[in-house]
Amino acid sequence: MKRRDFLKLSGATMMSTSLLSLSQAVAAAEQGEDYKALVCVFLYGGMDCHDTIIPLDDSNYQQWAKHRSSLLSAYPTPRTPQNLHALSTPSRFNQRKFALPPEMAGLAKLYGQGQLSVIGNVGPLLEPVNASHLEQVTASVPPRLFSHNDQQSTWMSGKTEGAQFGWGGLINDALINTGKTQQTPFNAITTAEADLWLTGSNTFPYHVSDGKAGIIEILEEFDNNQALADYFAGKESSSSNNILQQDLDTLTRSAMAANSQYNDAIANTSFTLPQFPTTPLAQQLKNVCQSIATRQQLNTKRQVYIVGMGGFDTHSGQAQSLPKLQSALDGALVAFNTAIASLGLEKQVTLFTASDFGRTLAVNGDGTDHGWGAHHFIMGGAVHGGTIFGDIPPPELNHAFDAGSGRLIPTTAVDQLAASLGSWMGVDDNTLLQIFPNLKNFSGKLSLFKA
Amino acid sequence: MVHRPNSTKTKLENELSCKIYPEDGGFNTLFVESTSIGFWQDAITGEDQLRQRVAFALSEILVVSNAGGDELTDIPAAVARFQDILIEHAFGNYRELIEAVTYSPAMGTYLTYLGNQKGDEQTGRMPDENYAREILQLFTLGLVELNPDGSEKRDSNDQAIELYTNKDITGLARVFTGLVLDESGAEQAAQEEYALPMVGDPELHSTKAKSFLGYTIAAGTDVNQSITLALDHIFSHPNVGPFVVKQLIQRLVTSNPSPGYVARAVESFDSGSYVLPDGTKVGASQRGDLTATIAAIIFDKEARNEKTARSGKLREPILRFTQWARAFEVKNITPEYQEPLWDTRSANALNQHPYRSSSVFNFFRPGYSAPGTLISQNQLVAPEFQITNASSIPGYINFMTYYIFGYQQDVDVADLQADYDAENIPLDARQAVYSFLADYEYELTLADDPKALLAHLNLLLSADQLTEHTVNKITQILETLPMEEPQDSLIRVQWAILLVMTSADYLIQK
Repeated sequence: MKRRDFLKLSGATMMSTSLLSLSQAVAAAEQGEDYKALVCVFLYGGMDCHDTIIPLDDSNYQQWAKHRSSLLSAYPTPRTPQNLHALSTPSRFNQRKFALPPEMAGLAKLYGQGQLSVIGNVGPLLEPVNASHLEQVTASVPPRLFSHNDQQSTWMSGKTEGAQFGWGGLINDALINTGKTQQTPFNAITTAEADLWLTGSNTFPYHVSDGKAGIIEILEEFDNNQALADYFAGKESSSSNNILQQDLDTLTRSAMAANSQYNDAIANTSFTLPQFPTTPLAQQLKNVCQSIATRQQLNTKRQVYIVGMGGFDTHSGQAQSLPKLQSALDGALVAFNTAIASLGLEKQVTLFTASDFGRTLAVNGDGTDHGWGAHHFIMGGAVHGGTIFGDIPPPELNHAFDAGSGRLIPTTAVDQLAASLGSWMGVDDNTLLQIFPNLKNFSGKLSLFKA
Repeated sequence: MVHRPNSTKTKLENELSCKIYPEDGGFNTLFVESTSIGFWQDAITGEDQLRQRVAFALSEILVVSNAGGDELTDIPAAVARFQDILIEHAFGNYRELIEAVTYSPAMGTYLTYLGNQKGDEQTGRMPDENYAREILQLFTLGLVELNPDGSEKRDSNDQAIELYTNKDITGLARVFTGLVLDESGAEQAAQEEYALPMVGDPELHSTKAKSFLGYTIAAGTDVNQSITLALDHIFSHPNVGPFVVKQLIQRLVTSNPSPGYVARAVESFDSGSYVLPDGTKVGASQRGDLTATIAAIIFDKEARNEKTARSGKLREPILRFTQWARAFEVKNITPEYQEPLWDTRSANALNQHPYRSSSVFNFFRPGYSAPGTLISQNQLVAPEFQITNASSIPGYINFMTYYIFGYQQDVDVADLQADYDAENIPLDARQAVYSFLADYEYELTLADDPKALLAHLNLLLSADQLTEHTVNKITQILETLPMEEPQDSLIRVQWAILLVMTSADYLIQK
């Protein structure tokens, strides 16, 4: 009998701590463990791509600084070339150089150590588009561009608000279908409310916060009275013909059952994680690490996670607000990277960022407006680190990929990124083409991962 | 100035007088939370309950939020005044409401057009597009053309028809330049300028022509005139009725109104009048009249008695709590003594807090259809499910337990006073134990008879929508509770209320 089967049969609540305290050590040592997790960090509001990957070579820096002059005078740490964190730039960019903002020292270091890369100008696309296609309306573009809620939804699902399935969930469905993981309530976990990306036909979002699943406090006072517990767990609910009520019943029953399983798993697993910053994002990523550390008790071999951070809709006061957000993002990602390494899972967990859209290169006084394509990060020991995938259009207006005011037309499709991630998780190419039907319109997946 | 019925700020000033506005210009938590305190007081004790209810519904369409960290958190006068605007206009006209909202410093701050400057070709600076986009997308028209019954129009390829492009947004953005705080007569120490409508600053306002939605405001038009013309043009669009009315129905009655229901209420919105069942005509016969619209929504046959398996909505957590406080005539509604009410956003509380959603997109979207549910398979929506998850389901039970069982009465007064003093909160902790006191006087007379108790609660809390099955289950549980000690009656009543208010029969308001 395999150890995992034994644990399952023994029942989580009956397991002794001494037995389970082995699990972390075993996991770290178990080099061949078949486990992978994908973590999406969603940056709500539209992260300013032009202030994330900053041109560093002299002529492009000057050009960028000219467009951004009214903002640049207001940053607490000036974005002078000497304050930026240079990135080693692939040779195909010739003399062009790039850097991260002063607040992202930690990410710059991870880039230098080969644990982080940049994906340039990625965004929702149906087929390749440039500015003249857009002007002459000779290409299909995703509907409802520049609208927050619809572009969040489009990033997560390929469809505008109201979509039913996200690609994180569909990737997990495919892994269930091919037996790479079991169907459990814990395959798809959110610490925010973004459940769309996680939802498939057999993959449903499970919500945790503060490091544990929800508990009903009054039940503990009443010694877990079974009749009350059953009542709150929805087991005694009447069979209504009302559709909303049927769904609420189902949701309540599955949530309560999963909560008790989850809390048993956490309580019966021993692990210590390095310190995380106190920011909400870092705490969410700590929750993710706790769940990952408990993966064997949760009986899952593939997981998709989503965490969220708001505040990126910097129409105003960008020079004050964005550096704080960048700093929080930097601290949270660095802590996550350290924690995952401490679990010995650096090659088995990949994190990437996503956002509604990028922003305008043009400034509106003290902020920027909604864009389309944006630059993002991908982090983890399995990733080809220290490089830039895709393209980074020049810091100018009216170039071939400017949709107006420096709103970038994406040069890499979300589908290309998503398919690469799905492939790493273990989904075959034919299935990926079904999940991402527009993938065939592009030059294929990105080579994000080491062989 | 318009009469301010039951004004939040007035109430706060009366009840807390100088205590809440720090004289020395310093802050305390209570000051920052005064918008929350005002909301709970009005929502629970306001004698104009329907007005308060509609104002809350409007606050989830015309969203501002003081969710932390920004200016609106530190300047409660702004959101307090915004609450007043919604209360004042709840039975007024939507066109006037949109204008008051547009000039409000709360919205100006939240959607970043307070101080918005005209463009500058030299530097490439463009006007801020934030309000231009959201006033169209969220407050008036939506994104796509609608039929009068709220359904989406389709083109010959069966595609929805988008109403505008980014060029319309950049054109309209010029309108919302040059609005600044009115600092002329305001006492700035009291933040009064945030309670006054913003005024125009000609220096900052764009003098260029402003083109959007097939309409052009001539070059050289000033800020006030530009706003009037722009709002008139937007408001003249046939989408306004179906877009706004359908959401009001969702907030007040049901998540999935039939097209006929939407069309009937839109007709009242457009005509500005409605005839009540007793023959009285209400409404000022102006398009956008909210009295006529609200009457049409709540007196519609679909709101009254035509129920199907698709009817109803998940009650919002905030409304479940205010209903509890109103239903049991809870005494001493002093939210300043209720720390849990200062911020109910946690998933272990209500997962929702008035005027504090995480973005202008509210706590939930009107089109939210929880993935993987019967709701979505049936092409229905259920917005409130967006804040319902494995954390918030037990969280709500915990929150209601605290209030229904009156846990605050067990507080250590000396400890609490020390906390108040440390936080510079000028309150007497002895009052805290009397705050939100529910004595369940009538319910206690029924404690010996669980069936009678349940029948009473069923009517009071759920409009008799608990099924016999649920009533029986709760009765069985109550009968297992001991009735020996004097306090056992109270405990039985409290359990009965908690079990009713956590049942799916109650939570889905049909």
